[in-house]
Amino acid sequence: MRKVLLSVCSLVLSAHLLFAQSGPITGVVKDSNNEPIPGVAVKVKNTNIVAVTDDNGNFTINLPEGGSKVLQFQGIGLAETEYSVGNKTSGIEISMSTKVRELSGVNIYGRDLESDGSPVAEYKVTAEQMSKRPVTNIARVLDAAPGIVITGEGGQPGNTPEMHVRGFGSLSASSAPLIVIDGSIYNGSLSSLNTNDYESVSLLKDATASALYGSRGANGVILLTSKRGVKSDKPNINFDAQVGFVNRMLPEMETVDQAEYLELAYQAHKRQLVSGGSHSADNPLTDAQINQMFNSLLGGYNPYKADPKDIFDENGRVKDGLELRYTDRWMDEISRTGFRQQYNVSISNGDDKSDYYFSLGYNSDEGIIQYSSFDRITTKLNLNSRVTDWLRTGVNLTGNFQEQRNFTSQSNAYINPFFSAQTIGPIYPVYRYDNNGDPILDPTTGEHLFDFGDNPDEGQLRPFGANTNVLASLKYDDRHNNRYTLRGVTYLEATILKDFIARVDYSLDYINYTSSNYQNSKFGDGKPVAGRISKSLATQTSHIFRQMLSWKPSFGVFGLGEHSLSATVAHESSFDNIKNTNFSRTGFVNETFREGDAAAINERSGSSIDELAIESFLGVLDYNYQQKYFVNASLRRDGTSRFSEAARWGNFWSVGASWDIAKENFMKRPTDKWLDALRLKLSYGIMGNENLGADYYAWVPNYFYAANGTTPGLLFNSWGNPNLRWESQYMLNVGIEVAALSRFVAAIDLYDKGSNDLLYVRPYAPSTGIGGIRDNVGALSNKGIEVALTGYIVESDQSDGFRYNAQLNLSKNWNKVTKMQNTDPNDPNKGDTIIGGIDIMTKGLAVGTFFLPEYAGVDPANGDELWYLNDGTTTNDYATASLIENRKVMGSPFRDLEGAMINNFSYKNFDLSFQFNFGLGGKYYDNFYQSLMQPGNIQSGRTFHKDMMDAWAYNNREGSLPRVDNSNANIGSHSDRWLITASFLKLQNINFGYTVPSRHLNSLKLSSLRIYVAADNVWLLAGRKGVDIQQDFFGVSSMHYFPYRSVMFGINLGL
Amino acid sequence: MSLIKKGLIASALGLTLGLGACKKDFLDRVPSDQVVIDSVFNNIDGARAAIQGLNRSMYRIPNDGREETFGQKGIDLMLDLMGDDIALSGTGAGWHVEVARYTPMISGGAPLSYMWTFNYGIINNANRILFHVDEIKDGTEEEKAIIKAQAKTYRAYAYFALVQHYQFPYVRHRNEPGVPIYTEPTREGKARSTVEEVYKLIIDDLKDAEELFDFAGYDPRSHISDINKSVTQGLLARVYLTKYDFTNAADYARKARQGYNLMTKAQLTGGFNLSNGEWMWGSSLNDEQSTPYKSFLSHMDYDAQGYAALGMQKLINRFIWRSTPETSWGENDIRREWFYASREGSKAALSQKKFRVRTKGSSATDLSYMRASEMYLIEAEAEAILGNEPLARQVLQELIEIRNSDYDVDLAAADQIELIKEIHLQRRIELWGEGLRFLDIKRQLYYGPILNGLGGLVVYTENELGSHRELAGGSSLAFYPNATVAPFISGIVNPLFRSRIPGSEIETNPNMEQNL
Repeated sequence: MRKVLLSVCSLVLSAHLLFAQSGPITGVVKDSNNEPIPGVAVKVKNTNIVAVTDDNGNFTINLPEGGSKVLQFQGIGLAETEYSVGNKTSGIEISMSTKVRELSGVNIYGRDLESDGSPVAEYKVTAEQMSKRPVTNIARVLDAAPGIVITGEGGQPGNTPEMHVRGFGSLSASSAPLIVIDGSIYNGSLSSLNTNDYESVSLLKDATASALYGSRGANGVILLTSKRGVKSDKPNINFDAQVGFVNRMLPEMETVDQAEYLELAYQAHKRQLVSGGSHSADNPLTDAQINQMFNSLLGGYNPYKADPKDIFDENGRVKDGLELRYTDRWMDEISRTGFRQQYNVSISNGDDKSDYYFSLGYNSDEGIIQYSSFDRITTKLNLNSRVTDWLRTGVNLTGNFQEQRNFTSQSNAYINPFFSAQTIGPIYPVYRYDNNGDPILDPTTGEHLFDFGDNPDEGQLRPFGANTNVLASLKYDDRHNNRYTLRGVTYLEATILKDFIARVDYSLDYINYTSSNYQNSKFGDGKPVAGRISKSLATQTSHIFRQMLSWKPSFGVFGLGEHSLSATVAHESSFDNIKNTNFSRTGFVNETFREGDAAAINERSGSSIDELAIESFLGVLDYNYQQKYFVNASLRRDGTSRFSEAARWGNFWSVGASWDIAKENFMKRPTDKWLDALRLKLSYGIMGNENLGADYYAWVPNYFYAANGTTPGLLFNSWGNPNLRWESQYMLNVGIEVAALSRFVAAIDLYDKGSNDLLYVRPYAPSTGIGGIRDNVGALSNKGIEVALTGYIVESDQSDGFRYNAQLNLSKNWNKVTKMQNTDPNDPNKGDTIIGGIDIMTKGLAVGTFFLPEYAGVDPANGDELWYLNDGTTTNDYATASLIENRKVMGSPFRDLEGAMINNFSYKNFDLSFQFNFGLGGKYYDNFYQSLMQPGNIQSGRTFHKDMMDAWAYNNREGSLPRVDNSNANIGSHSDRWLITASFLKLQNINFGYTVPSRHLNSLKLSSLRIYVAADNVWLLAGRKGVDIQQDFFGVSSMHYFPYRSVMFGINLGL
Repeated sequence: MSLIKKGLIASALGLTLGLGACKKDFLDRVPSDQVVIDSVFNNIDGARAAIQGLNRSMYRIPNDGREETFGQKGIDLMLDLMGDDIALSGTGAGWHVEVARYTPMISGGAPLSYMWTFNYGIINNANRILFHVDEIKDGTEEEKAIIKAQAKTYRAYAYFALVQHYQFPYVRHRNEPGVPIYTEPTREGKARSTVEEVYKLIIDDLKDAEELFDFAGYDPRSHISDINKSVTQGLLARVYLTKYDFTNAADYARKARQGYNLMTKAQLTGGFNLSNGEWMWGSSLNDEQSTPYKSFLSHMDYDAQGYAALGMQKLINRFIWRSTPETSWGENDIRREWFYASREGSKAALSQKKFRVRTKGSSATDLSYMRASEMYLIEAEAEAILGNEPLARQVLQELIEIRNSDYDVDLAAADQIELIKEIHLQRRIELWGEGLRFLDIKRQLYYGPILNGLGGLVVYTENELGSHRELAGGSSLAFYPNATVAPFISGIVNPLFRSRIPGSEIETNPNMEQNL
């Protein structure tokens, strides 16, 4: 016999208004076992007329005259029910079912993150906001979140950007946030997910949320919530289509043209002859010397229709009026405006018993470089069913396919288009031309021949990548990868006993990743072997099996509605298995055969298996009093197979509290008029990190296989480290939320995050024969402040009036190394500093702090580059300048302020929004610019930045930059000369849309229709034209696919 | 009814929880591509596999992001580029430019720091074998003796490379710091022992190895990569020559080459990629164990379509090519065919074709670490210096007349000094590109005073040494700024001939002392 306390009337307190009554109605309320339920509140809909059932479940209530005839039934622990009375006046029987707490959705381990009073520091992006961002990768929608830094790395279509939450928290262990979909850890790629399938994306930053994932939550958690069917009369069918184009956003670095390049070559060659003593600085080069320059230094390439001796005047300037033989520009030849399309259809519905959501999506993105592309097909089925009133089950199935056509992003590979096309000297053509500048054609096909830079007949041997042509590589080679992701999550949830819910979850991720690299047999790497095919196949299966028991008491004080308590205990086992297989074969009949079976020779092959197992136990407790005071706590114990039996378990926990101050009586009066909400949050917790990536067995002392010819062999690999243990992080978070004047909302969070026992390689003296072992060394601290301000600046009484709201997010993080490994027990300072080529890691400084010689300008006498020594004098000897005592701390790559501003306007049925991202301060090391300013670039056939025209030269002795010189190893070395500010301002996106009013839709049988245009990555202002300033966390440029602009036209319609 | 049902659910749940709680070994996972250490020295097969690992380490390609580091031949090539017999056709893809400029000798940095890690890797593996070999239950004493002999030879080999590279020559610097000595596995970095101590260990190890081979009584070699007694003796010859112990050098060189034939003309011009009767020690690489780019032939042979074809062809010093009298490097010398006399297509004049790919498109090749002809040259040099001129002339004549049927040692060299010069010249030609030249220059630094006023023996002038910097295109690689190479006047110590200790060692080994 169910006993629900009568005091539920507190729910329906005051019934002041009296309606004219039409007479009493009587009935009885029973549960699913046909037992009467006392204490159920009965209410006439849209009135304050209430009654409560008696001990036998009977009620009597008066309906108002001419008013609502719908009754609402509410009881604690029961699902709210409505009943339309019609003409009945008595004998009404209402059956109420037990309310089932949903643990899926926004709940994690039984904790409801959505509740107002939760102490969680969270940044959430809803489906509606996401619909305004035409991005193919869901991670991009978080780029306005305070506290997150997203790099542009992997701008190649289909790549996933890298993210850091609240500063850089780990060294060699992964710093990437954990991805959780509907409560289950996701091991796949974010690029496999369809943005349209998610109701929300949340970034969880504090300990109370992250410690639930104790084992892996240390660097933040990204929580994705799938869409579900909602109860409706008819299925909700939604169709979304976008078509548009992508083009170059980043301007090109300014490089020299053909004439300028030749002038610099002239100076370089002259320098050579003068310093070798065979020529005087005061005389122009002789015709023979100019010939020698073209033939040997420039590899026999003359871009002009003129004899070498007629090209220069006596000052070494290229004469006016010369006609070029060819004008090929590599960047133009490899670039394009790409086409992008995206279609998505979803169908969803639900009723009292079940709900479903189905979607199918297709996405195709050509990218801005020829022959690169990304295609994706996604499908999802989310099905939940209440089998009986005490048992629920559901399944969430995702199947995705993606194909990426790509190329290497290795910085110095000639087949990397971003290296080759941006670096090659402007006098080297893409295609071959004869002396008159006419194209040389293939005699059989008639196609314009590519220039591979090795043409003995013309006496040409290009100093830049002889025997390569990046455009031809893109065209004739084929590098692509396919990824299949299948994810199935099922659960069974039962209400057992009183107030207990038991749940079992199983999730399986199956990820199949194949990368294939075909090198053609005509030229390049595949030529000497008559073509090569290399493939690698990685199959990863991840199982997570979880059992949970939740308790939410409804007896005693808990039934009164003042105290609310919930507790969950769970056990979880997670097991990953990664199988790798690879092979490489060579020797094809011709270009049409590309699979391994068609190749004659096995070049290499192999396979391996890695396994990772993690077992966890956890408990979660939530309590609140009057929805005003909230307290929660969690405790988790994790064991991982990455560490030895003695060291594999780690304990993680969190406590949090929040106080909804605005609900206090003492706040009511003075603040009535302007304060809408005021909440204070406080949390502290310890989280862990064990993610050493592919290093699964760092604790095991081992030998590795090293066969000698066909005889098996073994070589020592590692001492292993049985003491290796969890890296841990503490996180203290203090937050305040204020809403005022019905107009402004501010959320401010302060945090102190410290990483201890940092997983890193402790180096051993190399003379002991091995590099080092994984160990727990050092500590890092990140402290910061995050501010999110939202203002509903212009509001309107009319539904179609002008509205403007804006959101400004700001964050500032202080990163600092607080402890470094110590390599000598007798000397606490030994090994406390790691100095790299351009940076330093030591106690008290931020990770990645630049540590460089200081540039002191140019020696006007000879064009030498000068650097300061620590005594203030200068030197032209880089070996001296780069000694540690002469190097200086030159700032950190981390910005002083990161921010974003989102603006939303609406008027009538039009809406407009745009988002700016910006950063202030920090330093960026412009490697790419440095490579364009190397004095000897002529010698290696590389181009120069236009700034080089201001270099010291025999004809420019006032030049403000060090000279061009083929034989100087000093000039252009690492120094602060290459540092620029990391500040930037970026127009991240613009979205303009029109929603067709519903009155026009009826005739079309549509329920909604919106058309829009959206642009992403629109415009960037940075410290140097052409710099991809957001490329890297550590502010160092490299030759990656850079981010590009997309402009998409879309239509969204609902049936 | 209801109670029964709920009871059932509760027990079902309990069962599920029970199933979910993992087995005890759930978290015990072991690697599939590595061997847990305890299982290596279980038996004699494991120890043999560890020796084979050492054989592999001679050409194993590390994953260090560099393209110059591919085992012993990678080190050989770097050293050769710091010598004076190889010129470059251009800067190519940029690899080796720093080495040719001596930058890593001054900084101790990459890619030359590989010299340190490569050799100490060998020492560590050899030490582990020697440490465990007596614990092995199965296997005969003879079998264990072979394993010990091979491990000791490897250890000596590595220390010999290190002590030559990180300190000036033994002759004048025996009491200066050499390199740290490790004779068993440890994690603690040690201080540098003196050059004398390192040489003592080297010779002790090699002599022990020689005895152990004798004790075992059989030649364990099943493959050219297996170390046998003649390799040990060949190393002793090298060590004694470097120590200026010419009697022992000649003696061991003679012993070492017993049983080996000299390469025929066909073999000499066959591309140096198939081991033959002259090779005393080498490796056979299959396709899988080499790579198209990061390999010796990629850097040497244009036709390998690797780095040589990307613009850094290896040329012979034109002073050697042009200035030698007809009598010593005659026009008919078969070794002239190791180089293109003039440009051929994209192949630069004087570029090498001594080392060529066996099959285009395949990286499979054999590499040589020691040849009998080197033993002839050691023997000739040592005997010549000892004043045993007739014997020296005979040995040299025997070697060179196979290469050049017109050769007459008496025409090439009239007296003892000329003979020694001639032996040096023939050594430069014969062993061109085999990684010996740079250390030869170092070794010969102090011949002048030793040979009592024969300072003129050193044939390199500043100009000539500088010559190898000259590129085919007329531009040149720069010297390190302060590296104006001083003439090799005896007693003058040039910092470019002694490498700095790698910074990573200084940082991590509190007992380490830098070469300043």
